[in-house]
Amino acid sequence: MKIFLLLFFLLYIEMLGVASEDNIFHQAIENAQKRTVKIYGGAIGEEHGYASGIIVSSDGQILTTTGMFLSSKALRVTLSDGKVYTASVLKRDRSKQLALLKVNAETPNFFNFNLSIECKKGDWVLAVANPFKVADGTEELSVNLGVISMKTELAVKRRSQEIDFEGQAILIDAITGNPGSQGGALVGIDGNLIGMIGKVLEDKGTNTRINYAIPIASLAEFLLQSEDVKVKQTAVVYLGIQLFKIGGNKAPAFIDRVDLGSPGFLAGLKKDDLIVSIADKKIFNCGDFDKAVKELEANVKVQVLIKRKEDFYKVDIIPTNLELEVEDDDENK
Amino acid sequence: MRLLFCFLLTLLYFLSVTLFGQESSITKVRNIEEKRIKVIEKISPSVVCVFGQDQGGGGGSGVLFHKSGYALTNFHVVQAFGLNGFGGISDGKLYPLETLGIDPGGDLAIVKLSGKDEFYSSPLGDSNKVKVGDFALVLGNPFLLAEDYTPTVTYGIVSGIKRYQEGQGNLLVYGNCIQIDSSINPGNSGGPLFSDFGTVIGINGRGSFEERGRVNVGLGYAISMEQVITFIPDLLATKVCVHGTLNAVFTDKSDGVVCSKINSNSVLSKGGMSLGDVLLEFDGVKILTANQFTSLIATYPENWPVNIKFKNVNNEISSFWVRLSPLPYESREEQQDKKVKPANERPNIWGEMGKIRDQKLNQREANRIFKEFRFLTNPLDKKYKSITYKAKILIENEEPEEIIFTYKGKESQILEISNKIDKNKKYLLNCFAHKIIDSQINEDKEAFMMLFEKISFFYGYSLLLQAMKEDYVKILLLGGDKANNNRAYKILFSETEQTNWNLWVNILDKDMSFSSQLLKMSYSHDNFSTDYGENLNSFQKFGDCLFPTDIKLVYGLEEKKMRQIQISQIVLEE
Repeated sequence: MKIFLLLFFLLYIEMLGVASEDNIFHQAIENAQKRTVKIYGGAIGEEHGYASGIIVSSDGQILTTTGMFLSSKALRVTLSDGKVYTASVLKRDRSKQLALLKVNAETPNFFNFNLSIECKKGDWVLAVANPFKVADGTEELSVNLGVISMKTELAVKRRSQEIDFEGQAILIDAITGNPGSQGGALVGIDGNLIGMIGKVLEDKGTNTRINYAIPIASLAEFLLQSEDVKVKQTAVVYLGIQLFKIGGNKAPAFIDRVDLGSPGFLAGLKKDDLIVSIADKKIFNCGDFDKAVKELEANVKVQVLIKRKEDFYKVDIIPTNLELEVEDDDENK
Repeated sequence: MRLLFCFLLTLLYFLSVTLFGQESSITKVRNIEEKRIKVIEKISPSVVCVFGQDQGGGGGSGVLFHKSGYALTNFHVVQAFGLNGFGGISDGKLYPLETLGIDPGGDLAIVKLSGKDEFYSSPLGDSNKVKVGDFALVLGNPFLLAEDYTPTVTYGIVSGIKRYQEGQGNLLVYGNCIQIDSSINPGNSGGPLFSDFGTVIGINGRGSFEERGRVNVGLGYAISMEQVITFIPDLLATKVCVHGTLNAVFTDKSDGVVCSKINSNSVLSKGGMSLGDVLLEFDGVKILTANQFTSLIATYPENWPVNIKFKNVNNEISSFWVRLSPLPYESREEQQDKKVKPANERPNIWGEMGKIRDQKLNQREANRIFKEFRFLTNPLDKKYKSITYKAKILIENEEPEEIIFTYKGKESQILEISNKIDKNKKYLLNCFAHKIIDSQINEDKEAFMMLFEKISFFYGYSLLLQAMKEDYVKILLLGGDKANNNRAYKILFSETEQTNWNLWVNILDKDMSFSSQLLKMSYSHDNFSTDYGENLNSFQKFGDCLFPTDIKLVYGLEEKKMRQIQISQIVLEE
């Protein structure tokens, strides 16, 4: 009789096991939701003033993306228990698009960085974040399920502005390109952190939003960085000419303005000149011009072909060193 | 020998466990897939592609939840085409459909398909058990894609529960809704959200369409089945549903959810609540934030009875029952001023808020529910000469009374009461004329009422049993209500102008299947307050008929027990 009871008991345990197996995501979701936070900050125009973030230490360090929301003087972070803290920015890296925040909260719930975990194409992933700020206070963050599509480098833009995105990105098929998702956690179904959901960005080629996460290795690299890294200058030399860019990068490279005393001015360039080539590279549009300028070196003479009305002219320009004037990211507008 | 057998069994068990454990992940995935395919095959025939009568009416999706052709859909789907349209199901055929009730506030509607004796329907599920991370199956007709009306299936997980999505004013508000990442696109509206087990746990109605036009962005929202079930009676009653409100504003403060604005005429004020009091519980749900309360109350219809628990400024905790007040809506004219389409081009399906739109349809629905219940109660449809009840009446702090009551037609009833004081006393009553036909206490109306109070159930139920057979004067589905701790249809049943019953009939069983169990009855009588009713429990068969054997006379919204009747025996004489 006792053995029968034991048998029953074992059967019961097995049934419990099967039941929990049906819900393979619950544990991973619960863990990730405890370690992911809601962030509220400043908003301007189309820039939404909210995001998500992941807790990376027991003393309240929170990793998130850079963005408009960081510029707020009252940057607030809501932990999963609903408690609200004001946060300060410890450091940021604009090329990695990452920022580290700090709140005065002790918590046992933070993400461990296990860099040995290798995620592969086709692996199931869960994106835990606060898109459209649907969750508030103690309300649980949203969870989207997807698979890893591929790991790749990105050529991206944000509206019409091109963005330098350094390093690898994990593309996923869960839709995360939504306001507020940035900074959320991407975890595997075992609950391990795989990456952090990136900003809303569009693919340069297809003009569609991409759903991606910044891999854990890049996050770790950023955490180990000691300095606040400013964004790299897109141009390294100074020519003193500005193009007529209203049509965007595809517009023909007509000069709109020439700074007095600048290398361009000294070479005799004028407003409404069309730049045809730089150092024998054909310039079809403003985008080509920007690219060509990046490759120039200061104090090295370069030949530029221009078209003024019906005539072509060859001019020599000696670019100078750029006076470093930090080009600000969107958050300091 | 037996021991050996047991040992072998255990061994076998462990063997099977190890084998099961070693099952490769690909087989596991295939098994899950296989299971999913089976579920989809099972539920697909219940999904409806909803269309208007012409091309311009747009369309959406729906789901059949009852074999008689009832389907749930969104209000914004039927609003586009009006009262009549077509529903296509996976057999490839189009069936005519008519709109019954609408709920503009909660974006729900019930339509009835016709043209087939029995439709395949899907069981409803318990949305309270839904957890974040559960698989979520969405079936419907996105972009009105299906030519043969077989539904499109999208698969994802539950992304969030108890979400709030604000509407246009008080219209199209999604309270305590289920957020999913299964693709929701235009045309999915009104379609079902299924659990992994093939039960309907929600009605998909909207997504976070803010930035990229009306396409899936990974956040879809479904009206929870919990809310839907509460509104089913009102919708079947062809009502223009009105949501409930407490006419008060609550704000998060350090000591809780505090009442910061209150109308002095509101139900809350009448219940004793005032400015600055802390709301602790609403309908048994602990209230922790004002947002949570806003989201919760959005799922309730007007007139729904709820219990409110609150704490006053002196930290005294008390509770009371109220019926929710109607939420105010902009009038249809005000609505239309804002819309682009001129008024005459929009089909008028609104009718008067909170009122039954179509009496005929309503009576048809009431009759259907009533017939199901009647069939259970008196399956052979017999008429009885007399019904004799032997019962015990229990009143708190009083000696129990044995009672024998014989019902003999409308006019004369014999009543025997025996207790310690009054042994085997017999009364002859004329309930119809409110008289005791007894020489000693003749014409004493008070004495009659005292007696009648005790026997009203026997009299009312016997009359009902007989009256159900006859052609009743009037039957009306009044809408939804709570009775005997269940959500119920409230039906008004009249035999003559004077004899009316309010009948509360169960919507769903505990296992979420439809059942027409009688929950509560009040036999209305000019001298009786309508606040009284009899909760009916423990149904048993006597003869061919089903009788409740545990009856509680209850009072008020809280259904306070006044008296209990336990029936031990019933004899039916044909």
